[in-house]
Amino acid sequence: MKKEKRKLSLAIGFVASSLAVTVPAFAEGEVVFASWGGSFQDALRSAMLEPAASALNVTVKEDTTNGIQDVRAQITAGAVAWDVTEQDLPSCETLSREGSLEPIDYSIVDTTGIPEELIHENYIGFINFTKVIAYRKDAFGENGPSNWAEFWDLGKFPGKRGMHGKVNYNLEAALMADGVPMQDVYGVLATDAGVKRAWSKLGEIAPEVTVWYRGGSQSAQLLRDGEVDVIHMGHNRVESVIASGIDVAYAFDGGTMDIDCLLVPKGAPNKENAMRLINELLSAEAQARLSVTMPLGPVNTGAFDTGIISEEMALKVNTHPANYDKQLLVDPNFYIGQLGELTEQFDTLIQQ
Amino acid sequence: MSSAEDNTRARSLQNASTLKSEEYRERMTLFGLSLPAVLAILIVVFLPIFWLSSLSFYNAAGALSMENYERIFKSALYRRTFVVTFQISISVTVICVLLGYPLCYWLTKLSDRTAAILMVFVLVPFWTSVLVRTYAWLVLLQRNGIINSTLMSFGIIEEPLQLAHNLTGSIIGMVHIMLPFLILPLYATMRNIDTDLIRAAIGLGSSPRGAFWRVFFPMSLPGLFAGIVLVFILSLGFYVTPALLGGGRVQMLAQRIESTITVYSNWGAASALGVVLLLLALVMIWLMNRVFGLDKLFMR
Repeated sequence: MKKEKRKLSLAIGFVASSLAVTVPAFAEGEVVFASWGGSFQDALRSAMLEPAASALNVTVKEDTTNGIQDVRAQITAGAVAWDVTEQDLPSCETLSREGSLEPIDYSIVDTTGIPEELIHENYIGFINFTKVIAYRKDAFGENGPSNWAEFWDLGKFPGKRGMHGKVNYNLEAALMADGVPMQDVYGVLATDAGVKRAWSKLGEIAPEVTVWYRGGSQSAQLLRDGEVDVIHMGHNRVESVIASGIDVAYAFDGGTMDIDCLLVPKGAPNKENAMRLINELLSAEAQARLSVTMPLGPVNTGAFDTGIISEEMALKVNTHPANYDKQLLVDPNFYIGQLGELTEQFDTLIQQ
Repeated sequence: MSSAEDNTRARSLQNASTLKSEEYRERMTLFGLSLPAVLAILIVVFLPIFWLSSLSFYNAAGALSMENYERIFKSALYRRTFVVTFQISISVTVICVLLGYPLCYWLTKLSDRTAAILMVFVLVPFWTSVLVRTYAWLVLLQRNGIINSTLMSFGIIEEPLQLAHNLTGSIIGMVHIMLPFLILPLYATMRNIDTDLIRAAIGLGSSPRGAFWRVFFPMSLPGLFAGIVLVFILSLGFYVTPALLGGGRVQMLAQRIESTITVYSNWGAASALGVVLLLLALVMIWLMNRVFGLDKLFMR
């Protein structure tokens, strides 16, 4: 969902443009926050930023980011304008390794309710996104392909397939289809033989994939128009297709869960307010309010105890305790340093 | 007498120098008038191209290297991308000629009024955004799209045809977008052909078919070549249409440039591709000029 908002910035450097400024009645100090813009950031504003501004009594200024290159440009130019920004996990890990981040001050940021694997020295998990296997019931009835082995099984489940058009998530899916238990996926991918195994399994399905989609809205269109019968796509998008009246089923089993995280660039002008803002953004209430606005996963499990999310709705959220363990948490370390190579191999495989 | 001669000579010398200085002044005025345009082209076209080309010789670490070009020539992926790009551009150009030439010819046979109305139909899609037209093709071509459902309801086909998310879909969409670029210069040329010449040829004993091929067709060639060059060169850099109608499997050069930037976050890797594309386009224009004599067309 965020991917399509992450438009390629074709200009070196960046143009800081204030989108919106939230000022409480008696603001003391300010903090600058950058996210992906669009309707996503609108949801962040109403669910999180405005309440945070009044709770902290600071002015929250907003900006939009196109990704890691914006943070790098600010640091290289020695003109850091952002105090807090949301980035994808590989970017956070890469920036952290480059030494471009301020450590998170855990005396201010309360981590109660946040899974341990999302808490890092220099960044912290913010929102979870899951891609699930979703199928149209008019093609498969009630018992369509609902795990990776079945997704690969064209004999038992003939029909058009759609998959994510980038290398991310696909090697993991291939290994799960090949019978590797979810918790061993990255262990297998750590060896050359394991990577080879994943490629050869992905090669089996590749010629049968009708569409390798690029954007979240494209995946929703494919499922809604019946261009594909079964597809691996963002679960919040699947929910929107179901809401539009299409008979679609999905399960969280084997879903690939990715995370956006919050970070503070080195040299941020309002460091202390940055930490206070992160603390507010991760609070159970703020996280719950966001997942009511958009069915994205709160990282704070306390969100489900706030009473803001109804029981029925909670079961549709990927980070609900009943769903969380069914999904594979994507490990950015596998991609860092070899994304170029993996992408070229992937493009060679899918290219006509 | 001699003084009269001297006078004339002096006058003609004076005339010559006046002429010379006037010529000089005129030349300077023209130069001054075109200076803003020359500067603008220098700043917005040549400088960025020069800057981009120089970037392509630096690797991710910022050191001078040929790494970016080596990657292009060594990897099967890039070779395949070039092949697909040319395959699509050539197909699109050929189909545009096959569709556009008869259409233009037919338009010249119609009354001015009817032809003008029909030209509007050619031009209106030309004003619509490429993105909108590409999505419109998706609606027409997809599995449950208008074309497939119509053909199936008439019982012409049993299974939906795979028209989108592949090479076929990309080419259909691109032909539609490129067609006006062929029609406009071709039609302009055809309209200026004196039809009396064809009548004269027939009057002198040629068959109508002979008159077409030996008189009309050769005279329409400059317009046709201009159209072919436009369509082919523009097709080389296509992005949106293959990205949306190619199902992720059709990857042209422009798409490769984009993915190279996002994956390597390195301008050099992408600009090397841009430089190769630019050189290929220049070579194609040079070749077409050699074969078709485009300079005659532009110097007319």
